[in-house]
Amino acid sequence: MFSEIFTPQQVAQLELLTINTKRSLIGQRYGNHTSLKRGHGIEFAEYRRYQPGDDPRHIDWGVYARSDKMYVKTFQEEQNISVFLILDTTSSMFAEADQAKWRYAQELLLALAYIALAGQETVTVCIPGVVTSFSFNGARSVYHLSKLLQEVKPVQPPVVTKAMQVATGALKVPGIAILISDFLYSLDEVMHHFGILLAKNLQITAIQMLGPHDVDPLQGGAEAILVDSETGEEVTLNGDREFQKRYQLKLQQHQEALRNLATHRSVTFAFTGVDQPVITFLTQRLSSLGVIS
Amino acid sequence: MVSWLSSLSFGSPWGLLALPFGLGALLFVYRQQNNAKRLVVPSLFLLREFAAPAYARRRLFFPLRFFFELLLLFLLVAGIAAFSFQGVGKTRLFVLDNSFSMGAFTRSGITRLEQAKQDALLELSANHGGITRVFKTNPALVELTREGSSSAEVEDAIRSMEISFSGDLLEQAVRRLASSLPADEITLFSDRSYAQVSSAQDSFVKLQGVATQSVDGNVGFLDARVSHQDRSLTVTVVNTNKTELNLLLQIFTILVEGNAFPEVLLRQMVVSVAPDATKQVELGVLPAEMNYFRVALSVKDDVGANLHPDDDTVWLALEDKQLPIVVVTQKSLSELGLDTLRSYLFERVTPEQFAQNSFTRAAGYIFHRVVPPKLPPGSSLLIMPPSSDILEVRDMPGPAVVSSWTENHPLTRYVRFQDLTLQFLSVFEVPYWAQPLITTTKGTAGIVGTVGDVKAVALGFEVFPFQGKQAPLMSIFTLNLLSWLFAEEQSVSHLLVEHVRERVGVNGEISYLSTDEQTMGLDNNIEEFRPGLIRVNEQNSTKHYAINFFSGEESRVSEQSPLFLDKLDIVKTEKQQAKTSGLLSQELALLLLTLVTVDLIILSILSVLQRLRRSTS
Repeated sequence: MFSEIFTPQQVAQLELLTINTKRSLIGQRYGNHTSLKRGHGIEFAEYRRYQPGDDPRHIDWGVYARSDKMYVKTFQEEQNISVFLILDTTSSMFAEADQAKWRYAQELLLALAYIALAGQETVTVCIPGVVTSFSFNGARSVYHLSKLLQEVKPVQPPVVTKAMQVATGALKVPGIAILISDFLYSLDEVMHHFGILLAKNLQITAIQMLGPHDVDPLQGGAEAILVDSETGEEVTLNGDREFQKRYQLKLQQHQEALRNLATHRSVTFAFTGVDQPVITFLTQRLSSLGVIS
Repeated sequence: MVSWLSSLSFGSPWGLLALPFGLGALLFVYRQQNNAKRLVVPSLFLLREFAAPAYARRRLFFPLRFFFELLLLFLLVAGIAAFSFQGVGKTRLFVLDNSFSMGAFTRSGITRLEQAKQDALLELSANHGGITRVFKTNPALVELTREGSSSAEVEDAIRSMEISFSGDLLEQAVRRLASSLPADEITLFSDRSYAQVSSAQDSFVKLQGVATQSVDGNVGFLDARVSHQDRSLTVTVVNTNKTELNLLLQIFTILVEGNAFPEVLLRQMVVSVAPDATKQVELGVLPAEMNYFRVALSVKDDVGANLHPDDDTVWLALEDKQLPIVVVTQKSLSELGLDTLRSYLFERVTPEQFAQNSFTRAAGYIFHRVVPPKLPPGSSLLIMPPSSDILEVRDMPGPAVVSSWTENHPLTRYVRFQDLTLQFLSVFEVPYWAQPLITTTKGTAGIVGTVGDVKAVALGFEVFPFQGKQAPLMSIFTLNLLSWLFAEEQSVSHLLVEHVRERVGVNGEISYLSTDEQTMGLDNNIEEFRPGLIRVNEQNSTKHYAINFFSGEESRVSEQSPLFLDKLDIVKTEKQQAKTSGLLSQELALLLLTLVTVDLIILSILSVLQRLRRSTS
């Protein structure tokens, strides 16, 4: 599936990208990111007084010559990071007539996972309904991930929240969390989700993706009975111009509130529409936000 | 409730089949078109606040239009199924046969008409409500009720019905009613029976037969003639009994003295008539000084039966010695040679005189080289008439000889026309009412036919002057013509009921000499003419006419004559009935039309609104 979605050129493009962190994190194994752990890295960290037990090889003899005091040089160790990918699998992600939103979400997840895996990061995915928490290492494991995605079935919102709680609890080290959802639910719920992730001291990136029906529920029609994909609730809408105007305003207000909430909780918030190519979104939007470099 | 439900009826119940189909179609259309499209959306999280007003509006609007169209559908189906309220909206036509035969007595001692009236009243009381209209068939179809007549008025109309001295007109009456009046049921009260039982089934024409089964028969007069030459009276009597009967025939003379009309027996005789046979009886010469007579018939010795008493009397008036044959011509009678024919009474009038006075009191008419605007009410002979609306005469064709003639006709049976020399020959287009009599090499030169009840002969060659032995062939032919056309008329000394209006001036004051046998008085109550003597006061003159009714068919009352109502006619009338009848039919049609219009208006307004909304959004 992965090879069906991405062309070799796009895969090569993805391999050039890496997941960025805003702060140093402790990884689980050697990697490309400067770790909080002092060790044998390349990057000098600090001098400290020699203490018995230190490896004499790390004593900076030059300093000792000038100051007659013994200091040892410490280096920041380079480790990989933990990338926690959470995919919203509630019915709303599948509601589009041609499932454009779901396909886009899959592509985005696979792309992010591949970037991380190619950068030797440890990728943990939470795909409610299929796997609550599953870790991958190595670029080739993206194929396994893509197989898992094929088994996804829509779940109810509480299942997602529960899965997030379980999966976050299972994380051994803090890392980066990327939450992919349409965020068409209440801000309280959003805040709750952010809270779960922040409790584990994760650097959160929230990606909101909206499909055509999210932007224009009536799809140009005059009147329709709309059925909520998650609850089955029905409402009849009269799609006049006033409605269109008020709905767009409402959508903007919701997104603004999401953005404010994210800022307030130090969450990186990114928006994309399903009509924007994934590669473009990654290289332009996420890159500009410093999530990817 | 149950009785209310049972009063519902459907003229065409199969029409109810349209209901499920219509309902299905209506629901389908609503599901397809009027129901809003259903769209599954990711979430209603942001949409709920917009939904409430629109949804409420739809909830209100949908049922209104739906139920409106549902009502429309029900009305339409009701219309197709010819829905009606029995007893409330049912329109019944009671047709009482009051022809002459209905005057015959039944075993219960009342006449058939009385029996029919009782049946009709019983039928009326058995079915309350609805509209009942009462008709009598004779002498013409007449409604005895009026629109909105109450039950009491309908009963009165039935009770007031009387026997008419005329033949049976039931078939015509039924066909006319069935095709012209909206009705749910036509009930006939008659002494006739369906010719084919199957034709009566499933028909909305019901025959309520009056019991006629009887071993008894009837005796009566079928004809009466008085020769104007010798005043000899000949009558024809009929005996429909199964036994030979001795009939007593009595001749009374009526003395007209002011307003009192005493009756005196002149003579009587007994004749024997074979079972189920007619007999011509010569009753001798009537006294010359007396003009008004009544001949009565009765069964002697109380053997056999006489079911119908109204055909046992003949009335005669010999006031006019002999009715003239009116000759309309520019020539004189002597120029035509008619003065030599002493046995006929001719009255010569000019065409101008005839135009001013139609001379209705005549035994017949001869039009010599003239043609009337329309044929008169008596038999007519037209000699070389000019072209007219009645006869189209072709251009003179030149010399022609007779090529053929109708050999079996009484006029031409004994004449060899090939030996005749035809002068001033002209030929006709044969009109619809006639048939060719004499054909020449240039066309038809003689036609014969009947128009209504009168005979007419038109000849395209000259038969006058009558030359007797000098031109024997032509004279025989001329005598044949006069005899065939006029002799019968000249021997009758009375009018038939059906011809009274044609022969009696309408301006005169008419009164009946009441039929009290001893002292007759005057009776002005004339609704319909019936047998008897009438006095007509016209300007300064007073004339008396005798009126009789003869009908072999109607006098044979022991035989039940069949009623011929073609199945096709009944089916046809049923269709007409289904289309036009029913309480709701017209109102329903109007209501439907109105509702459809309203619905269309709503529909167009909605579609315009929808288009506007789409264009703006």
